[in-house]
Amino acid sequence: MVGRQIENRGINNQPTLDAMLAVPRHKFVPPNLLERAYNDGPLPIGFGQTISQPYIVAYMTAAIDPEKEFKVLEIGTGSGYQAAVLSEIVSDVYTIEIITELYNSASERLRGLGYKNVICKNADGYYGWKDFAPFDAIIVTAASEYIPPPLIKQLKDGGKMIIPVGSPFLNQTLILIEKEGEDITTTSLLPVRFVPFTRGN
Amino acid sequence: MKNDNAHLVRLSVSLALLSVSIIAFQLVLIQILSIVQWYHFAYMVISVAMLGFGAAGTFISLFSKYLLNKTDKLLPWLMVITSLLMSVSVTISQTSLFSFDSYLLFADISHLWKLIATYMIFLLPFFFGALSIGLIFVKHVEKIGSLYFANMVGSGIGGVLAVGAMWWFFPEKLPAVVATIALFAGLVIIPKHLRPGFSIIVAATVAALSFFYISSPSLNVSEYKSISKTLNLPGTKIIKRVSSPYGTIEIVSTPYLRYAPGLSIKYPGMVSVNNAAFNNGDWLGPLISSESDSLKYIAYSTEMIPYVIGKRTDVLVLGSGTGRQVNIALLNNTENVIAVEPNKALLNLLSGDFSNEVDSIYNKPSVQIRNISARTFLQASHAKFDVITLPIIGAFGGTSGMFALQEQYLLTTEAFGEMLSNLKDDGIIGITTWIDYPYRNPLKITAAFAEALEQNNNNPIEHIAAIKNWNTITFAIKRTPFKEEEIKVIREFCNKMNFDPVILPGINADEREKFNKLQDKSLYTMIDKILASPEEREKVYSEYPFNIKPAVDNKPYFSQFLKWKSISQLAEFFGNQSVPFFEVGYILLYLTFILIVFFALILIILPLVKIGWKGGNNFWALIYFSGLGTGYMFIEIIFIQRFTLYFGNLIYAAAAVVSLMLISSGFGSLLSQKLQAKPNRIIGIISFIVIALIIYTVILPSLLKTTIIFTLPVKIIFTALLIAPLAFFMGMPFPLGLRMLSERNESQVPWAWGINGLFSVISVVLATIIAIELGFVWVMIFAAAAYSLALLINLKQN
Repeated sequence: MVGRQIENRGINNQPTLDAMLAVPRHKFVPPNLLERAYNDGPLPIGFGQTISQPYIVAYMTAAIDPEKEFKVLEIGTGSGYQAAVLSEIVSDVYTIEIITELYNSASERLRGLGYKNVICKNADGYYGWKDFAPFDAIIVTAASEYIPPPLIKQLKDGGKMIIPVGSPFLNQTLILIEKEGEDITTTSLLPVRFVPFTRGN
Repeated sequence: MKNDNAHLVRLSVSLALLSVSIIAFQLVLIQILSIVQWYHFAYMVISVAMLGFGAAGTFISLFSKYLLNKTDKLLPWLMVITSLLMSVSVTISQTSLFSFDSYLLFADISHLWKLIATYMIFLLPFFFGALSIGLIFVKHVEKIGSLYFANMVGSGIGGVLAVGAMWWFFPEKLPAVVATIALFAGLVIIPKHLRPGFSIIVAATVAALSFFYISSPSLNVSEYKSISKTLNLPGTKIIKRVSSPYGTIEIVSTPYLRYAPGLSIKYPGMVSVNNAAFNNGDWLGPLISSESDSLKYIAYSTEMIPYVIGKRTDVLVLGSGTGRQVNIALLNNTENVIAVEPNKALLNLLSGDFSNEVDSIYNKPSVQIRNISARTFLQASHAKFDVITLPIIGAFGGTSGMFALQEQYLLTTEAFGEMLSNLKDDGIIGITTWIDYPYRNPLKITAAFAEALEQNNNNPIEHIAAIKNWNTITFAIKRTPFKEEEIKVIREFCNKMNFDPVILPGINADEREKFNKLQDKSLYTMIDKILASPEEREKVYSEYPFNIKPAVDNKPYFSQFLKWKSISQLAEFFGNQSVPFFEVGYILLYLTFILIVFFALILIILPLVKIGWKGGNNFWALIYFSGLGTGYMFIEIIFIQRFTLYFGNLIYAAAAVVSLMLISSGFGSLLSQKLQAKPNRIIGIISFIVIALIIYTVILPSLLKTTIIFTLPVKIIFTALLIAPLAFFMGMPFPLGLRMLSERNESQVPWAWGINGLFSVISVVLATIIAIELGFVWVMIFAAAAYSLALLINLKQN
């Protein structure tokens, strides 16, 4: 999976590649879809949510340039897979899930798999997690048509936030938000081979 | 003789009742499937299920001897079974074993099997119902004119009744109600000697239907629908649910839902929590109120652009929904707002029980409500406005093309032209869209306004401004060219809010990327080309991998972007698994068509084993009855399309048009009973229909456009005059043809009836394909061609 789906598409951030190799993705997918756990696509996990395509998870992880001492906040735990990948690289992962059932299953799964540096909370991600702010990076995997102002405040100066945009089975773009003092800029990134679609014409 | 007449009357009443229930059941199923899935998807499930009609024809052909011998005994049984199946099928389809999710069809194979099982489940009530109708027709073919009259009139009444019943009953209760009518149909024709024994069966059926009514199934709504996602939030619940022909409206109370499209990243405060409204599980909008929440965030949105540029007195809000845009206008001190919203049930709620939750906007003296479709309002109005706003286009993250087949008359070039002419000199149209990728919506909007402006001899570059944040673009289209001062204000607003101008007279490349950068900058180059000249624009239309040519009234499918020739390219870039999710609706349309044609062919060929492959009448019957089935259905679809726009109310206009057509055709059929079934007669009638269709193709659109301003009673009389005479004659060729065929070879009658049914079903899907690919005018032309074929085959016979 890592070589063919991720490295071949240009992701060369070594900690990300190592983390993707280390996390057993099949432990995060529903039992009826086990045989497709390492397929090159997202899978449904119930409640209208998906576990993202491996490549997208890797892309988002690499996009925040994760470092060992990083403190990362994730909004939308889902299956817990993204949190597990991050936990292999950074020192602390704080993850918030609003849907109680998903929170219960993900936190239990992460605990069972021994991801001790992941702290889960069942709450509204809008407010972020003030107690542990500021964060070096924030990943917002829960669909959000606007960027909650508290999250901007909780992002460290020089920090990065990333938001995937797309329907459940089709992530088309990733929005990278960078904060430098008062200056906040966004960049719409294309995970698709880094090549603008229309250039293929 | 007297007995015969009494029998015919009872048979006709039974047939009419059964027809009422079958049409009503069809409409109820569409409503239920629209709630659990999506409207157009519902439409397709029904199309496949309607193959039950063709299957019944085939079944009668194959087993005619046995069935026709026992018809009188069988009919009550068949109708009772139909009644039971109507109720049971809905309940079974909602169990976890069968309940499918159209979103998962391409992600989880088990849902494909569930979909096929659902087709089969819904096919059964139609099969048994159609079997009853077919047996009556075939057994009493000499009286086909009168019987077909009962069938048509019953169907016509069924449509109206179902629409009315939707105000009174929730959709999940309706199958049992409709099934009761089918039961009555059976009761009317129980032979005397069977009545004592049958009473037990009837009692048991009544008990079963009562059970299904009281413990109606809970609808298994797709987990990917907006309402399901909202209800997943803790502490969220439905606080009000009302049923109406516009669909089921749900008001959801939630401690977590915040809605702030186009919000500036600079906004420092809080976004308030709102309750929200949903229609058939699809997002309608938030209920926002300045009394209970701070609405300061609204001033930090790209949507504010029309109000930033100048003072606004008169605002027109098209598709006002839950009133968010009305509230924005009022917060900007607008003096007069006209809110146009076709959904009566929603307006009742927001001006009644939930008035306080939306600042009582719909009860304010400064707000006038128009309960009509936005497009009809535009065509009929001569008022001038400072601002015209439209609902946000698309949904955040996209809809996976679930709405690709939706006719959107508010987003056609003609509609944009009408909006421009409804503006004051300094007036502005405000329209916001999500930024999708690959870029589609913003390009199509730019192209549509460019064309609309050019049609008014304006240079688009001077009249269009657009600004973006990280995920939305708001367009401001001005009737007169933007002034220097206005351009300056837009730039200042962008700088203050971290927005970037995308289109602005005198724009430079750098300012487009100051705050919100795009890795794929082709959005700008494409927009520039679209605005540069008609020639450049045409080049973009043909070269771009998606269909971004503006929607027009003839092809009002704004959200249809997929081009077949680009599919391999999409697969290469996004992966095979992703391709269907670009436009699920469009892909499913073609899949349904292939499926229907495949089964229809089998059902047409199968009876030939029994009635023989050769024979002079086979070819005639195939061409004649397929022509009639196709022609009739195409015209029905065209009339629904034309007249719903004319009346501005989709539900009532569609029900009225279809009922008027069917009942008029019923009378035509009744009269045909007195005519001789000869080719000459048929040729004369069909010639009249073809000539009328050619005339209608040419004059109908302009005729309706000119008379749209007339008062409602005048419009109703005018519509009746246009539809009834044509439909009257359209009701004759089918019964005349069946009678003619029965005189030549009786065994072919059920086959011919089945062909007519099968082609009616195929035509519903085919008409949508033709409308999308070629336009509605071509549906009308094909209708005339289908009738011409039926004409030619008779000329040959003659």
